Amino acid sequence: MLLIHAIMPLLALYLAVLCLTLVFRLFILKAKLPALGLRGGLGRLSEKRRRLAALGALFFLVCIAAQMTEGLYAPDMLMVFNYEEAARGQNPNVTRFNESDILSDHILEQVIQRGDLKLSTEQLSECLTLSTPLDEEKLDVTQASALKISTEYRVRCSERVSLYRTTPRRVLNLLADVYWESFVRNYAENDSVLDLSFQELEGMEYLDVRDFLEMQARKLQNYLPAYNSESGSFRAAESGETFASLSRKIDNFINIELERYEAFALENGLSRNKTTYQSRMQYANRLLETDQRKNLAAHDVRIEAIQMYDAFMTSFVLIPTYDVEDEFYMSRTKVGVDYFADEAKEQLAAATRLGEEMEHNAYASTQVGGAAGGASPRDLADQRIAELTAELTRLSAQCRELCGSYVKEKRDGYIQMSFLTPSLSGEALRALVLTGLFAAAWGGNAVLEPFYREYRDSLSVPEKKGRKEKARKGDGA
Amino acid sequence: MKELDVFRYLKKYRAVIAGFSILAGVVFFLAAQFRVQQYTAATVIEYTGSRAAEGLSPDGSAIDPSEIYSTNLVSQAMKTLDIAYTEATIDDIRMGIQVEPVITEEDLQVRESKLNNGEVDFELNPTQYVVSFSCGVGNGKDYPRKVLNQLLQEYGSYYGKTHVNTAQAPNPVSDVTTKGYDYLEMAEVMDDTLTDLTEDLSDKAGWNGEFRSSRTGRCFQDLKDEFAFIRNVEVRQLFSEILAGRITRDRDVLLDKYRNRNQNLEISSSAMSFEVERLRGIIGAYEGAIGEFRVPTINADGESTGSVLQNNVLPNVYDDRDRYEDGGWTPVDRTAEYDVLLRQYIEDRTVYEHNAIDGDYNDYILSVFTGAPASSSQADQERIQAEIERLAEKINALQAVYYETNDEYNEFLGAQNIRMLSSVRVAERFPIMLFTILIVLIFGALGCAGAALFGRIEDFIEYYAFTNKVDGLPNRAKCDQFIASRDGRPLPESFTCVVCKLANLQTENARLGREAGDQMLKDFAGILTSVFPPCEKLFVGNNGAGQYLIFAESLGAEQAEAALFQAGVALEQKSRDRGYRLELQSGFAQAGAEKCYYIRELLSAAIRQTGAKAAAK
Repeated sequence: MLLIHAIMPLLALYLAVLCLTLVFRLFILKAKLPALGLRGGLGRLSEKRRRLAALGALFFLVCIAAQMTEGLYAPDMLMVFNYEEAARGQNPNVTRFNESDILSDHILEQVIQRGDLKLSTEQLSECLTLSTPLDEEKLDVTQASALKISTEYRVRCSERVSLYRTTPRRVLNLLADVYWESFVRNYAENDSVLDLSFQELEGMEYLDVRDFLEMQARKLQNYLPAYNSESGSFRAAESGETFASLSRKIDNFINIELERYEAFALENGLSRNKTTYQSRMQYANRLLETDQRKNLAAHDVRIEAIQMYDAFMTSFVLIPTYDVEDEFYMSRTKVGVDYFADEAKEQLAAATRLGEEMEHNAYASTQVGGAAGGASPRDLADQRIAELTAELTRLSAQCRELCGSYVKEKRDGYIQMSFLTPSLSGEALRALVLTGLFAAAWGGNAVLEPFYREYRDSLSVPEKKGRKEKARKGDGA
Repeated sequence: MKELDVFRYLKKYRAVIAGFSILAGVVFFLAAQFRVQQYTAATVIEYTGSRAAEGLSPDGSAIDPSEIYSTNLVSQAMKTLDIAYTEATIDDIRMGIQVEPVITEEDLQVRESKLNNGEVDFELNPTQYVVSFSCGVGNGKDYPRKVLNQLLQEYGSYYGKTHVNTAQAPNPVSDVTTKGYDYLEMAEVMDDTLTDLTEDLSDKAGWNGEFRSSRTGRCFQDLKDEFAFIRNVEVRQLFSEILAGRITRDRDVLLDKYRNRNQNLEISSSAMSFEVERLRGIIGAYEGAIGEFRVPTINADGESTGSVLQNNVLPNVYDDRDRYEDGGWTPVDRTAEYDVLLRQYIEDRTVYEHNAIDGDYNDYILSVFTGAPASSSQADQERIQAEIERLAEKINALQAVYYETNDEYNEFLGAQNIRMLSSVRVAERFPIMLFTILIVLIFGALGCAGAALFGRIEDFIEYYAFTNKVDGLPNRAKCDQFIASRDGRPLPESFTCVVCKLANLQTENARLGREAGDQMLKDFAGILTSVFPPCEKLFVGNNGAGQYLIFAESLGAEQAEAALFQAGVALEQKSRDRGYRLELQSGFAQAGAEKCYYIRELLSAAIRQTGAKAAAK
């Protein structure tokens, strides 16, 4: 293939030599070119027109064949980044897009590894070039319209890779595959969080199972809001689910199904290890009590400070304003007690929450402690857990389907890659220009040939000429 | 001497000038393209933080674009791109980077109008910057693009980490099992770590709830829930097992530690109690003093004028900021001293109360372990150690996910706060081709000047060394030079040598005098050169022996005959005009006709023919 790639440079070289010869002959013979003689020369050229036409046609065909073969053998690859953030120079995960990653060493290493190519990363790097259409444009910061972000990148692989027993097209195909995988792995939507694992449920306390399943359900729920805010009306083609409906289903799973399970477990005082569970609840309450006491103490101290606050120590100004419903509201400037009251309120809220948790723990501990035990409720609970995990798995699959179809529609594969095949008309035009040049140079040389021969004969030494004539005669004999 | 004709010199040396100029152009092009030329990669960035227009980063520090080429970022970029120090050093790259603010016409107009309106403190804070990197062409066109891209990548991450997302919970659990802590202490470290992590993650989930890492697939809320579950279930289970089983490595050391903690708490409480009492005193005294100021004043008529503090609220907020020495502004805490005193009172009282509660907790731990064996059984210790190691491993694994997520979050924040306005464009820095054309033109002009100068000097030399002063034709030395230059080389068939002689010069010289003789020679030479005009292909010279030699590259016998006939006619005409006789004696020899292809032989043949013609007459 390298020989084919040498055709065009050789043709160009030949054309250059032809043109130089023509110029040289014109220069030499300019004073000796009688107009009439030239006309005669042109007349003789018409005798050679068939030859010229044949040579021209051959030149044209060789040109176009070489160009097309070259273009088809080592085509440029166009990578079009067609997701929304690309126009802002960002990846789909809204981090900065770095086009140099396309030809980074780690990508090239994977290309070599995957294609089992017999060249080093450095050698491959030398064969590949990256460009954008914007490279040709000058960066003019004074005009906002000149500041553009390219979403198309052209990758070219030199035909020199043929020396390493591979082809440019194969290298570019490998590069496209490897880069796409890397791009999706590092910057695209990642729904691996939807791969729920229930291995930890093995041996887990019945009451902890509820928290664990709620945590897993929340993972599904957390995955949906971003898409819901982007396109709330999007529906899965098959199930007709929307992000909002799926989110509501997960809510129901948490608030109804898990609640029912929890009620069942508490009612029956289910526990894998009663003593350990009670001990844990006791310790948890001990910690919670400590935190609650601290919150209450902080609350009391602030109340004390508010009571201590001397009303005459400060003044405030009333500020007529609007409330959130756009009604007139008389507000006022804040003073120290406002902040103390706010903090006291927060401390009280925290203490109340901790108290509630302690009550819950105490109730669970009491229920577990008072349970008669027995296989039947446990079997029922295990069955219920299996149903819950199955339901959660189903919800996870629905999430994946819905989000997957949305991402597919929105992102359309993130990157579109295609090979730029050479245009036959464009290449033909180029070949035609070269052929015209060839015809002119060849024709010119043909016209000047007799004059130039005459000129050379006039310069030649008669002895040599005689020798040549003799030799010619001898050959003839 | 020949007249000064610049075009004659240019025509003579045109090939040399052209060759010299082109050679200079080629040499310059090669040297410039491979030694001087640089590739410049450039892009435009914009700081988009909420306070960027004030020149501030989200954390309140001043925006400093020079961070882009700080040593640590350049070093990191080089490491990522695997650039060895033999290829480029940190300073090589730093020197090649330029960061220039983009100040538009509109910005300048705004500043002008602000200054005209008396806002003398107004400062223009550009938010857009052109970032460029220039380097030699040795590493190819992709190299500057790679370097600039990587630098901006590192900077984005750095900016997110240091100016936006400044907090990240530490992970002391990573090596907790190797420190020789007691089991309860290890459980406490885990609990504290998980508490910090959940608080940190809770904040981040609040700030950017929609952020989800592409690499880990997690959002901060997912991670927070997982850490919270480990803390609430598994770590508490571990605590309860340790406390219920009273498992310890060394009971006495553990008890000593908690006793010591209580001792410290007592000391702290005592100090707080002292400070609280004193603060109460200050607050009381302060209230008393201010109360005095509030006593209503009585005027001369015995009427109350009201409190001195009434109606003394200013209508506007004033003096809300102080100025730094460097000219920047900073808000100042103007909390009333009374509120500061009460705030201090609250803090001290809270610490005092918390110390008491923490003391109770320590007493609980002491009560649990007081009756415990000095060291738990090996089996219990191994079981708990294994459980701790499992938990530590689990926390560390999740922590690694968190850190990876956080790294991506930093990149996300970088891209959120530093927007790219343009793709990185790579262009050649210098228009070498244009410069090359200029060099060719300049060298061409210099060559022309040189040719004129050299040509003129040559004319002088030619005139003084190789010209016969009487007739102005090349002298004998020049004729010898010409013959020598053609000697040894065969002549073309059309080469012709003509020898002319003024036959009656001596007679006329004796008759009319030397001046008339000189005039005769001039006239004779003039007619010869008009018939045989000297050019590149035709040489006319005076050999100093009264013979005029004419060497023509291409002259037929008939042409030579005709020319000599024309010369004879012209001489006759001149003789009639001048009053003296100009008698031509001539002969010629053509290389082809004489079969004589060497110049000296041909000259001899021509001289012979001249002699023969004279003899025949």
